[in-house]
Amino acid sequence: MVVLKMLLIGSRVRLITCVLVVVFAGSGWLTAQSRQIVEIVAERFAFAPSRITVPVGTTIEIHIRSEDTNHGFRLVDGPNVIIPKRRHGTAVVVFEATEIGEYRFECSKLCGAGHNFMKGEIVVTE
Amino acid sequence: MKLNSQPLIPLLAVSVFAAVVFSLIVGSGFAQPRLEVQPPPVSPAFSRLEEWAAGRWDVADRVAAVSLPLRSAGLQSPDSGRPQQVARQAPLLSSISGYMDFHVNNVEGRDASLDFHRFVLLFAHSFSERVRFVSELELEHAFVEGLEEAGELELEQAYIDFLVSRQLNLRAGMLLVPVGIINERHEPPVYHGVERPFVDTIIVPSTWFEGGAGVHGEIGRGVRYRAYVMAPLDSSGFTADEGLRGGRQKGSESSVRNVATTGRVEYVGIGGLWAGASFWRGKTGFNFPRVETQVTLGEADARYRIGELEARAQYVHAWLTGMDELNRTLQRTVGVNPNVASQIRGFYLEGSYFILPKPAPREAAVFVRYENFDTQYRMPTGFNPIGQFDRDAWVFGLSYYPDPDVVLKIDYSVVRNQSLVINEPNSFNVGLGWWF
Repeated sequence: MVVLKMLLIGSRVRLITCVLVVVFAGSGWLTAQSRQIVEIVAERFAFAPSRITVPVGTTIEIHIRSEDTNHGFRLVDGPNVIIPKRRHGTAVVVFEATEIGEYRFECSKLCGAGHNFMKGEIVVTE
Repeated sequence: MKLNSQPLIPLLAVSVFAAVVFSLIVGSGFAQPRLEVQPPPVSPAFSRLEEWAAGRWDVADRVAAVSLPLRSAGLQSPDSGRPQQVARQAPLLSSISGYMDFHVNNVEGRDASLDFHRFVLLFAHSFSERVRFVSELELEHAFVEGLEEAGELELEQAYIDFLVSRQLNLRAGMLLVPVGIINERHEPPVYHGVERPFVDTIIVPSTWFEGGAGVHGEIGRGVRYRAYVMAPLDSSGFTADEGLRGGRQKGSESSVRNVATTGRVEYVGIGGLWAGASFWRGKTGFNFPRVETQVTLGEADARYRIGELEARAQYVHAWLTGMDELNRTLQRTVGVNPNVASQIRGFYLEGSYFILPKPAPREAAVFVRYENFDTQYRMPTGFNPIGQFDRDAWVFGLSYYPDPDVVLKIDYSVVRNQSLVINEPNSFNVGLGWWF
């Protein structure tokens, strides 16, 4: 298992604590934690699903795999992680939704002609 | 020659001062004012981590090299509540990517040919979070000598995106027409077959690009749209065998006496399913002021993947008005009646299956595709269709991926038409394509 952990502290995402964890396929370590898991498939040129809605106070693990090339998952004004190529692993982003709002994410690695279409958002509701 | 060093001293001083100021500004976080970034730990393991997070390692390298330093660095679980590293990965300001496509075509009745078909470079730049540039420059057939027969150097995309919100963004520049599966998504590893589908070449004239402007965005959970105003097709380039293809103005001093409108809606809200519908509509007769011609094109497509199986389907239909007058005008002016149809249409169905087991580092997929395309589906009054242009094709083959971004393709195409005189040649094709 390989883990990368980054904690973000910033003004724009002031009350969101975001921990990025990258886990390569085969690890069952994170699934043992008490978190809500969301799976996202990244593929030229979309994230599916591209909209995740969670109530405030939730911690979600976003498991992102690619169906083609490397993509990136980047919270706007926030941290960035590379999504491995198809069948080369899964990136896991742990997102602690501590404030109501909409948090955009996007592909951060140029992946083709429609790269700028690859966007999504996490909606934190009451 | 003796060099007088006196004038260089103030120049050097100014340069050093500027460099120091610049490094202080950048180092102080001026370039990234929104975040406080703590200095990374001094452990070599963490510097490796930063490289990894920035995507500067390939996956195999990461797996092999990161695991041990991470363990030795003593990182704790995300639940430990004691963060050890604070970092923010800014988006790369500028990026270069590209794809290449190189193949051998052995067509019945002709000598086999070896063609470096496409050498494409993509350049992107982020001016800010909201203002971004993307371009795609393509060299076709490896050599440019004026006309298409010898190759083409094409600016297929060069646009600025003004990102307003998820629901609404603005785009202007050289744009890909948002019609069909392939036109906007044409990197070699993402489609099967050495050549693009016939329908996406002859009925949808991919790569179809023009100057224009418009909006795009996403609504709800996976409903995406694009709507552009673009330079129109030029009907004087339409032909009986390739339909609209010769009418592309390609953004080169394109006439915009009349503009075309185009758009696409697609649904990507369910994993594995992509479904879309597109249209294009515009007046196309500006080269002949007294000839009113117009094209309306509609298209629907879907892709669905479940497990190792993927299916694709696409249907395209175009209505061309005023072609009777266009045919007569061209007959009078250039002496050749192009016999352009009043309706053209095409469709294809494709199934593919990954035959190598999932954990394999390499992948292989077999595929079969049936295509039916007719560039004289309906003719204007007084003109007759020619059976040669009512065609169908079976294309089957193998795509082998030593890496998800590199594909070796082998296929065989059996093409038939309705002519009793002229046969379409079959072909055996081998190609290599890659993306980086």
